[in-house]
Amino acid sequence: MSCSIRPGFAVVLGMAILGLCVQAQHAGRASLQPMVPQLVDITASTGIHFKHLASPDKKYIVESMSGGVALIDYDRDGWPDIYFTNAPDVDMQLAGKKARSALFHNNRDGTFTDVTDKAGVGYPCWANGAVVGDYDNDGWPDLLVTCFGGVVLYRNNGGATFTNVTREAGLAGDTMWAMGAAFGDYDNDGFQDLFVSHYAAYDLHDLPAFGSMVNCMYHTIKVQCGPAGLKGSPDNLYHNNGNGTFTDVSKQAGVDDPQNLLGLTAVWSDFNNDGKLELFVANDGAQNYLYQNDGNGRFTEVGFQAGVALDENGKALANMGLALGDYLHTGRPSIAITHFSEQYLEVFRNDGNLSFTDVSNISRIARATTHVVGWGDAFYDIDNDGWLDLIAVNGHVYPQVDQANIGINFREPGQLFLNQRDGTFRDVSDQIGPALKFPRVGRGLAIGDLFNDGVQEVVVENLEGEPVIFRPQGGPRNHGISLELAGTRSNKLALNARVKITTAELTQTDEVRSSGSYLSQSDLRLHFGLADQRRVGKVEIFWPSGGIETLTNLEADRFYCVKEGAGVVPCASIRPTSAPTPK
Amino acid sequence: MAQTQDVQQKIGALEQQVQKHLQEQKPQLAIPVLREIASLDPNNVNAQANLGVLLFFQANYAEAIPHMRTALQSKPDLWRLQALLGIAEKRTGDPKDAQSDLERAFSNLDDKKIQIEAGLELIELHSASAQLDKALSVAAKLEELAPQNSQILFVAYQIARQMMDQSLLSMMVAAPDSAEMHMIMAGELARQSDPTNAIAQYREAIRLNPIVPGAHFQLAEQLRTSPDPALNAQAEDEYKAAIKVNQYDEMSWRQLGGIMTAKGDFKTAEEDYKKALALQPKDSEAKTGLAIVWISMNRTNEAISLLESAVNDDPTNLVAHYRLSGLYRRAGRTADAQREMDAFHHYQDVKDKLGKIFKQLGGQTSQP
Repeated sequence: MSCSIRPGFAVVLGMAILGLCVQAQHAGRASLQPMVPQLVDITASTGIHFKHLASPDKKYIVESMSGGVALIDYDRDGWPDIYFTNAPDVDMQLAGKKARSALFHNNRDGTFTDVTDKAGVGYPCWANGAVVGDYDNDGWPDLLVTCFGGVVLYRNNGGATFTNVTREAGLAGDTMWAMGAAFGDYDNDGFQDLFVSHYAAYDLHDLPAFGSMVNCMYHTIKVQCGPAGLKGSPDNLYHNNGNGTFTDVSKQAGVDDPQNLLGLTAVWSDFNNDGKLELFVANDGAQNYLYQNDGNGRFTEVGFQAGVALDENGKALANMGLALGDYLHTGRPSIAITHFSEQYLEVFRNDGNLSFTDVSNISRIARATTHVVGWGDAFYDIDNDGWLDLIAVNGHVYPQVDQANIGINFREPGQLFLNQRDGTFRDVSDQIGPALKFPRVGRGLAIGDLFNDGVQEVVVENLEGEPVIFRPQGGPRNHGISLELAGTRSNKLALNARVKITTAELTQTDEVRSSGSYLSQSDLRLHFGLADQRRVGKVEIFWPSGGIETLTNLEADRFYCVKEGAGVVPCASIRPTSAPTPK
Repeated sequence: MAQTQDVQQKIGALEQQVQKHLQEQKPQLAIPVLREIASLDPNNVNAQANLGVLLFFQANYAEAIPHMRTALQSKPDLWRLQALLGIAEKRTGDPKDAQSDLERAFSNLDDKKIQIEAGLELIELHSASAQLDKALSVAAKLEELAPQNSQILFVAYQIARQMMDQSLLSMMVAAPDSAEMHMIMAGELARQSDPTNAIAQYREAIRLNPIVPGAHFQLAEQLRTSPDPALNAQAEDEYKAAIKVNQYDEMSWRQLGGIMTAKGDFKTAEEDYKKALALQPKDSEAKTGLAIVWISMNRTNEAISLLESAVNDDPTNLVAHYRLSGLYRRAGRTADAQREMDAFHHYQDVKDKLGKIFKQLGGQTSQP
């Protein structure tokens, strides 16, 4: 069963709903469309009111790093809901005050309702990021929040409420400053394992004083101390025991980060298409880790050999946000990593066999991103032309730069780069309307079709103030197709299932992934732009279990639900409808 | 005759005593015996020299000096003795003779330890009399002798700083309003991590003398490394201005190559780097820059050759090692790739250690 969608959908309010699908309305449009869609700020119309707390001076680095956003269809109604993390400042924390994170339920009419209190996910911790997985493999997406002081695992009780099961799951021993996290079934046993990257060893009762040392200076300005000079913390891999608990296997797996680098976003992906998941960890101010899966529960760190550890000139950058995408249609995911200012957004082309090339300069991304501090990023086909574009949000860490008269600002505009289909991108940030260019202190970014109309929105959480939801409007009237996968032999959320679609014009690939961007989670459904193609000749699904499924001749502008081994099925049949058995 | 024989016999016996005392490491007992020999035979070079040396090491410099001089009058090629004489003279307030003796001895000494000792004493004399060029010359010889010797390196550093101060003072007196004076100010400001005022001073230097050598290049460097994008954008014009002033400004050509590469104008970048290399064929950085251009133009084999040449010219060139490793890896030359990566890590470690020390020196960090 599929759900019809149409391109060019513009009006969300008052949308009619047919079962679990949406018959999106085709709004009348002027015949002259700009070639580049306009990104419009639709936050106000969504009814979302949320404010990320932030101290005005950011005297401590821990006050600059929070802000992950997660799209999670927690009630499995087929409409992505949104979770925003929140964090106090040091003074609040020391005074025992908490910051409220928030879950917004998608009302299926273009608006959202704050259901945080009912869902029980408002006060997990000093929350940095959030990712989605299904640790108990019951089909209900669970929520993992990374905290200053470990992680919090929220078990989805069946679409309405969550229970903090951190202790029961065996994750309470993680007490370090957790930033990145990602679910992935690295041993293909059908249960999602969990990797958590940790940042600095940081004691709120013994904080490095603002501007007190050379590591607390930015050019000539006194700023918060770090990350240079801070001692890092190791990382953790938790193997899913299949019974709702995890076992720490970090050391035996070889991913424990004995160098104690400052870990940020982490992502599982099958970078070499061998059916085994690799793990990529972005480390702040140090080499990235690429852990090759040896297939026996062990990993080998190959970042240097693979060419992704450092930038093209051997310099360790401040690696923060991770975007994965097959922007060249090679069948392999490349990597884009956001960085600090006076560095650049780095694009690593995946050349196959775990070999990458830093093409930031020749792809024309580097120069345009040198003067901003980048965070959330994603390969994102804004115009549905079948070629992944690249979006990033920016924002400095030091508010003091505004007073320093050094030509850079705390609030920075976001950026969008259009794929030129020849390995290069064109900076169209000035051509997509004023919304993305409005200066903000961006952090997390997630992509998803919030309104099930074939148009993917961009949800951004800012360190200061309210989040923003961007929606592309206008541009070419292209087609698309969306797939929601469910594993049977594989994990039920089908994490890291790979999909290859072939039309008369293009072959594209993508992968269902937990985590990504900066400490964020995008829609687990896969969306492919099809340009003017109205039909997809072939869809191949490479399930984590090893099975390959082929679908043929799928009509465009529809959602398809695919169950492992059963092909296209009614969406209701892959979504749990009753509360899971209490455990 | 018989008397002479008696004296010689006596001297012989005394010399045996001297040997015995010295073997027993009792120089204080040998000294009076040597005095007796010297009184019996004032031209006895051995006695005079040994007496001078023993008195020297007893810190009795005043008494040691005449004995050493007497010995040197008879045998002028006793270079170690002359070095000790110079040191003794220095320590007894006779810098003129001290410098003369140490200079003469220094270039003839063949014992490394004594040469270093004499050289360091000589540098003190040169520095004290403001003969910094001579001091620097001696320091350079000492650095050749013992490149890892921290004392020598420190002394060399001190001389360079003194020379800098001396030049600055001379400039302040002779040409306080000159373009060059403003360039000095700019350089100092840049070292103090004050790029804004450094840029202003370079601009003032150029205003005073638009063709003052080096000003456009230095200004361009400040602009290029500024965090301010508006200033970054001005760097290119300043490099071009530097070349207009001096078309043989190799470093400006090289930096222009880098700017053109970043802009994606690989053709112009290639031309710029080639101009730099025509002026300085061993410029490892220019070779690396040109190789990067060729990598971007998919001229991989040419890039590999050039990078190999770059690391040959400068084995510490981190970028060249790293780039070369990547190209070897993509060419399937795994062992070569690993070798270059190992070299990269080695020099990176060295650089990291240096970086930590620079930070302790009070340098600023430009990134977290």
